[in-house]
Parts: sequence; C-alpha cells; structure tokens
Amino acid sequence: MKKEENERKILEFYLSALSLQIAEDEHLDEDTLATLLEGSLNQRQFRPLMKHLVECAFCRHLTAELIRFDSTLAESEEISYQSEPAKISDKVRNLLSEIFQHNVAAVEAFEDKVGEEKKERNSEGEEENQNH
Amino acid sequence: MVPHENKTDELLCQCETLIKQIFEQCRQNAPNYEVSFQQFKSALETSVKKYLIKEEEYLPDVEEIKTFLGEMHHQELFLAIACANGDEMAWWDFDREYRSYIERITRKLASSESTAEEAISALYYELYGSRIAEGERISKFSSYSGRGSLRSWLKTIIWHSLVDLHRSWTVSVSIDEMVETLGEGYTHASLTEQDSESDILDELTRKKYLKKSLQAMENAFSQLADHEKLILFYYYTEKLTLKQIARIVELPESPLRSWFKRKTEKRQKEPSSRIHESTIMRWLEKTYSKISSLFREELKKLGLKQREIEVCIELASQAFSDFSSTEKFFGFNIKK
Repeated sequence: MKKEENERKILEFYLSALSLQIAEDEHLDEDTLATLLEGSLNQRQFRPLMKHLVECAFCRHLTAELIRFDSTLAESEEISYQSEPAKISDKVRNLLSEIFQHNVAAVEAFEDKVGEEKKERNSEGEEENQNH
Repeated sequence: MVPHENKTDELLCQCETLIKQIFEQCRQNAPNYEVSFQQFKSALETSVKKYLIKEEEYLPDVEEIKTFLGEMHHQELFLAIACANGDEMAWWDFDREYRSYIERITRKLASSESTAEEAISALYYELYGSRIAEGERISKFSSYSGRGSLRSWLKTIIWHSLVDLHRSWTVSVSIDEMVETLGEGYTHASLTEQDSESDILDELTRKKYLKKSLQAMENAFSQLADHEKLILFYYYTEKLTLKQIARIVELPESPLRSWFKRKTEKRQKEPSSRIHESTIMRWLEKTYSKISSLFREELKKLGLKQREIEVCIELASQAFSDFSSTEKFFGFNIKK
C-alpha cells in the first residue's frame, strides 16, 4: 500500500511537471473545443486533437475547465440574478435595432456609446465614493 | 496548407451534388437569408479540411467526406453565414432562438448583473463584427464550422470571454531539460554552507535517484497510448471528478469511450449503455497499474537493482512531497 502511494506521488509530480508545458504550435480554437467536447468527432477525427491535448497543458486545461462548467450547468438549471430578468434582453434588443437601422456606421456609434456609458458609470462610482 | 490539397479538391468536387442538395434544403427552410451557394460550399469545404483531412498521411474517400457533410449542422451553419453577412432577418431569428440561452450561460459565468450585461453586449457586437479589415466587417460567426452545434459554439465563446485562467505556462522547457536541471531549487533549499562532505555526497546520491525516477517515469509514460495519458492528466492534474470524466465519455459515439471500453457482449448489444463512475475508476486503475509496472521495468533498465528501486522510489516520493509546487522544485522561470 505504501509502495503504491509512493509511486503515485512520483506519477503525480511528473504529471504536474508536464502540466506546465504548452505546445509551440497553434492552440485549439473555440470551434474545435466546442466540437470536441460535444462528442461530434469520430475516433479518427479526434486522434490528432487528442495528441495535441496530451502535449499542450494550456488546451488540456481549457477543456478541463469547460468540462467542469458543463457539469455545473447540467447539475443546476436555476438562474442567479433573477431580480431584473428583462433588463439584459431589452438592452440586446436595442442593440440589434441600432445596428440594423444605421448599418455599419451604427456599430462604431454603438462602440462610442458603450464607451461613454462605461465612462459615465465609472465617474458616477467615483463621485459616490467621494461622497462616502 | 492542407495535405494532399489537389486531391482533396478533387474529392470535394465529387461531393458537389450533395452540397447542392444540402444548400437547397437550407434555402427552403430559410428562403430570405442572404447566403450564396458559393459561400455555403466554401464553408463546408473549410470544415472538411479542418476536421477530416488534418492528418498528413490520411486522405479520406468520397464516402467518408459525404458522411461527414451529412453529419454537419447545416441549418445552423446557414444561419451563421447569413448573420456574418449582416442579414437582418437572420439576426432576428438568431436573437429569438438563442438569446435566452446566451443570457443563461452568461449569467452563470458573470460575477454580477452588470458584468453579464456588458458581456452580452460585447458578444453581440463581436458576432456582428467589431473589426473592419480591408473595408469588410469581420464577424465572429465566420469562425463557426458547423461541425458541432451552434449552441455549443456559443457557450464556448461566452465561457472564453468571461473566464480568467490563472495559470503559469512554459514552452521552452522539455522534460529532458527538466531532468538535466533537476532539483536546482531542491538542492539549494536542502544544502547549507555548514554541511559536511558526507552530507553533500548523500545529497548527490539523492539527486541521482531523483533523476533516475523522473527519467524512468518519463520512459514509462511515453509507452502509454494517448487516451490513457489524457485520462491520467484529467484525473491527477486537472482534478476532474470521476463523474465529470464520465460525462465526456457518456455519449455512445465518444471516441474516448470507444478506446477504453472492452467489447463485451453486453456492450455490443447495448452500445448506448451508460458509463458509470465505477467504470472510469476501473479504467484509471488499469492505466495506473500499467504505468506502475512500466515504471519499475524502466528503473531496472536504468541499472537499478530491486533493493535500490525501493530506495529510489521512497526517496523520490519523499522529495517530491516536500515541495509544494513543481515550479519551485525545478527552479525554472515560468512565463506568465
């Protein structure tokens, strides 16, 4: 038992050393990560990706975190922040209207607007802090 | 460049009729979307080249390409291309179909309501195209291949934009180099100026055993198949639970599952039978027992006698447990 535990410690140490290494070639993109974790690929299509996962701690870590997130999602269906359920949707709806009423120029305008809003929020926050 | 580029193009030409059929079907379902046949065909071909012709030595036959094309999420790809083109009708359809899903995922990940709000705005903006290159909008939708579902793709995009991965990585240090520079941190921490000559000799012997144990583990590990390596990484270093590992192999078509599972009569009769945590535990134990015997064999090959092997394992496990982090042990610089 003790022998097995000692060997296990060496294995864990070795694996954690490998877990600092990332591949020098390109990392898996979001489309590949999504496809891979969805189980849409067969063995032959999966093989080169698995080889990359074994060699690249960065991508392996990404997949592990995504697996964790998937399992959290599956376990809990409830939604937090339920106090203002329609707020985000309204904002997004406005965004679409804005984009399609004014076309590409609206995108730039929207970016400026979001930037302005952020600035305003920050300065309001600062003022509040000063008042306190 | 994709290997066998010319041959691949020839094979894809032979699938033109099927591609036309798929396109017509998508157009029937969404006749108002602004998507040309050429765009759709090009997107399908990109996906084939990306997922099916990745390995240099392998060239699929026409039937395999047709099966691949048939399995793709055509309608979702059609929608994504239309959205990338800036088709307003497609965008409203996308919004109606996916907005609540996007909100749900984002709220799960965001730390506050305002962060979620900003993330959703940023996502829509990126999907529409926040960058303009050579006079054209670059829509994030153009990176969707249609191989997996659009939901799964969206989830990954949202997750990636909101999760901060606090980890250290290095590209330059190979295991060979690690073994060579082994224990710089360890040696410096354990030796002092007051140590006698015999202390130093003891230390050098210890270091020799540590090197041998790592070298043997490296040789043993290299003999495992990739799926065995991956499951060890997920369990030991990524600390995924058995249940989480079971989730990624629960689909009947999961490649990992096919590699591991024994073709028992029961499984052949019921290919979709559930993979339980106990099965994952058995896979892990089997892989662990394999690497354990390989490790001992490798220590023998490195010239250690049975008694020495036990001493070596004992010393190495003790030394490795004393160090809280691998980086500290090896004493090398980590890129942040």
